[in-house]
Amino acid sequence: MASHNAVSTEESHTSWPAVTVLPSPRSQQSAAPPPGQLLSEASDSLALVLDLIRHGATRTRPELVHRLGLGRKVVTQRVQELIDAGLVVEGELAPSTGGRAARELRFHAEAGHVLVAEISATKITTGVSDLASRLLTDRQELTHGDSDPEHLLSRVETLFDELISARPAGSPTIWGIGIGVLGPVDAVTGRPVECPMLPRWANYPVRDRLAARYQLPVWVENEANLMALGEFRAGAAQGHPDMAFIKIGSGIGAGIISNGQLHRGAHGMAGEIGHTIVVDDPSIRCWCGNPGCLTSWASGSALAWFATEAASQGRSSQLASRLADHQLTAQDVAAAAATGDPTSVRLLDRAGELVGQVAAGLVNSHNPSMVIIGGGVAGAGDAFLAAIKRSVYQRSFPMTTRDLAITRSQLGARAGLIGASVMVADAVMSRSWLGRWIERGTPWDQHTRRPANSGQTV
Amino acid sequence: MATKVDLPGLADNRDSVVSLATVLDLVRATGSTTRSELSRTSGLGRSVVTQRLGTLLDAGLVEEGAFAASTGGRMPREVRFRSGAGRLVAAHLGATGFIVGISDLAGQLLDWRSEEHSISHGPESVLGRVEAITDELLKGTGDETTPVWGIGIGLPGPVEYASGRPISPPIMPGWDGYPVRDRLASRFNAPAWVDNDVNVMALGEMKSGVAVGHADILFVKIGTGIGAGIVSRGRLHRGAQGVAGDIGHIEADPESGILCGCGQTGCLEALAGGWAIARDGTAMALNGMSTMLSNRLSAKEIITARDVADAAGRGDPVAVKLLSQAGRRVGHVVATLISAINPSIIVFGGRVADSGDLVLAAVRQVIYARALPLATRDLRITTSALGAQGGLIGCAHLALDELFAPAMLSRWIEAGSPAGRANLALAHGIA
Repeated sequence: MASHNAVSTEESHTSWPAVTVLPSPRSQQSAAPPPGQLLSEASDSLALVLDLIRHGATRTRPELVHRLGLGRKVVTQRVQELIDAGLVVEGELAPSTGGRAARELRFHAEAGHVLVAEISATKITTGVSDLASRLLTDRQELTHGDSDPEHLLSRVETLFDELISARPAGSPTIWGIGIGVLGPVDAVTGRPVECPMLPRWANYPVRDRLAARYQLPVWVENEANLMALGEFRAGAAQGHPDMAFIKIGSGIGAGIISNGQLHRGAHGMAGEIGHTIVVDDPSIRCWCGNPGCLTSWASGSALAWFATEAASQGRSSQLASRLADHQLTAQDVAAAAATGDPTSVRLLDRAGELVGQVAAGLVNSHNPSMVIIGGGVAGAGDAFLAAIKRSVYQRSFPMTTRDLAITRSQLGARAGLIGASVMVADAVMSRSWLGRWIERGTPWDQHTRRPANSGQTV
Repeated sequence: MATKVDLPGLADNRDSVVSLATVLDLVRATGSTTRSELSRTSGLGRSVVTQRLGTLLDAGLVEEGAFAASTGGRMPREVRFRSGAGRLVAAHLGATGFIVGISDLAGQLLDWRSEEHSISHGPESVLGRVEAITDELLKGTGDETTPVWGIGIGLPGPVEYASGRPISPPIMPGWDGYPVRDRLASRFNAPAWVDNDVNVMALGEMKSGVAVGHADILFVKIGTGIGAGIVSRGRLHRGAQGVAGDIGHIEADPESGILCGCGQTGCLEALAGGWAIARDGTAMALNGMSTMLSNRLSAKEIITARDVADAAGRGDPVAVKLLSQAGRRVGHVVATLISAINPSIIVFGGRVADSGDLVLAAVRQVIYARALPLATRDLRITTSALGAQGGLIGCAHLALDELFAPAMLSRWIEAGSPAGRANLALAHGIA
């Protein structure tokens, strides 16, 4: 997993399931309850019932009655509404626990598709997922240093168009779009927050552009936040409601899950740990304006920079011979370290030590039960991860590390895409949204092709 | 008044419970409102609002008041939260003393009393005093017959929230695993909740202090020790073991070689906490660097952080340096936290933070120099407005939040009150 993006410029995988025929949406129902009442009364329990079923926590009506403390009648009603809407299907008879055997309920994850994309510093990944955040197909390509939002989003749109037309006949409708971008995102507008490092992305209407083009609700989020969400819901951190994901790629950032929810902070800027000052050396100034930021000492671009310096100063013959062939990246440092190049080993060790120093602060302040190290540089050999661990255990308050797991990303390069799918599924099936569209069967209006709402971040 | 309420099928129907909690929350938040206003703000139908209000009226949680001004049709009748239906016991325990108070159901303190009593005397001694003073306060506050509905407690160490027991608290000998919640719940015959003292201080500021209206809050206490309370999306972030916010043990200067009580060297609180300031002040008094502190030491035989702050207030340059150094150390760590958490407000509290402007000025200086500029653009940095009562108010709100949460409400509303139900906090509710 060391270098998924360096191996080839394009990678893809596809695993379409057998086409399932959608139950027809509940179209001509009798008078709907007054909107206010539906919103606050029924959709609360509707979302609760759906959550338990789609997370696999509860599989039968009697279990739902037991878990929710809801009446039998209410549960039967809610389940029927979900079946009518095509979100839940009845399966086999569950093993009897005494009385009449109950029919198993299953989330119909194939009822809709989600388009997902992630734009990072070096690559674009796109994909299609089902409603249970399983990627059905995905592909990635390198951006070769292009950071213009116009170009990159055009490319995303082209890739989306290809993905849409490549879907097998009879595929379900697409319910929404989730996209991860670099830097903090304003949750209300779906636009990246002004950030000196990404000037052209400042206030760029990412959500509005995609929503207008596809007439679908769109959610935009920072990519490290999405990686955290992906690992929490579908990866290594399942069952860890307090966890942190540290992404070490071209830059360094974190996604924090608090009480089972993404911690976004006041302006969507939470997790910007790359701008923790770790070295009191004014000579290397970060784009953020401060000297000695973690990013300028331990990120992929910092490693590449230090490696190039070492090679040109004759401190590493291995790096020098690599430099003669191509521009150095963090992958070169990892490869040279793997074959014992002492300069590269020291560079990685120092980077790991510094990342660990900042991670230790996060462990003390947040007391997570798991810290996941991901991003392109995370795969830079076991010594790098070991340096991080050593540093965390050495510096953290012992009680906070008693049950702490520090581990690599399980979802790897797909963590962000899966997180984007989780974001969309959660938003569309949330309490406040479900009530608005359940009567119609899909989250957007099939006649006007207008979204039920232009999308908002969870 | 709090007699058995007839609620056919309520416990069976989560929809009703959720709407009941919604209506109650709205009445609590506004203090006084009308049915049409409730219907408008909740999105619930008029008949549902009227039904839920009926339940709340029967339970004695809500009362009808005067007629409100008519907006055309029939004059609407006001409904008010009956904050006097029950009383709460709040107890905020610190390292060297505690404050106990009685509040109404709106979190308003009716009376309180503080006492110097070191936490190191152990749970029997400390809680014995807390209980004795609570008894006296309950007798002398308001209507003596008003029942105790709940108890909120803050402790100066890590607490396992689910069990209400301290876990390996560093400065609390004899408290490890002590059943604080169970003891106070059975003593006052009402459900009790226990949390870390900094968390309840953060809660107090969020509910009725300077942080009202903020959802992402960082509260930093600089007292004898240093700790933080983190609020994420309006909820306290307690962490996996309940020890989140333990920023006093973040490594601030490993090269200093200064040993901390936790066994590590260079921890923030070993360099900037109240005990560190007292230690450094004593050293400065002994080596004669500060005449003012030397005089204080010969008069009192001890130097506290308070003495250092007093000396600084009277212009002693050594004391000024000690405090601003401490402030800068805290600033380094807080700057890091700002980048990670992106709060909209930081509130400083605790005796050292409250001792004057010096510490906060130094903290601010470092925050603006070192935190991500984007994250400090709209950041408010301030001191607690509630002072010593902040934690106490937070304790009351800890109990209130738990009592009026939908799942908990559904477990006692039929009885009309949680009084006399010491075990309500024990078993976990639905879903």
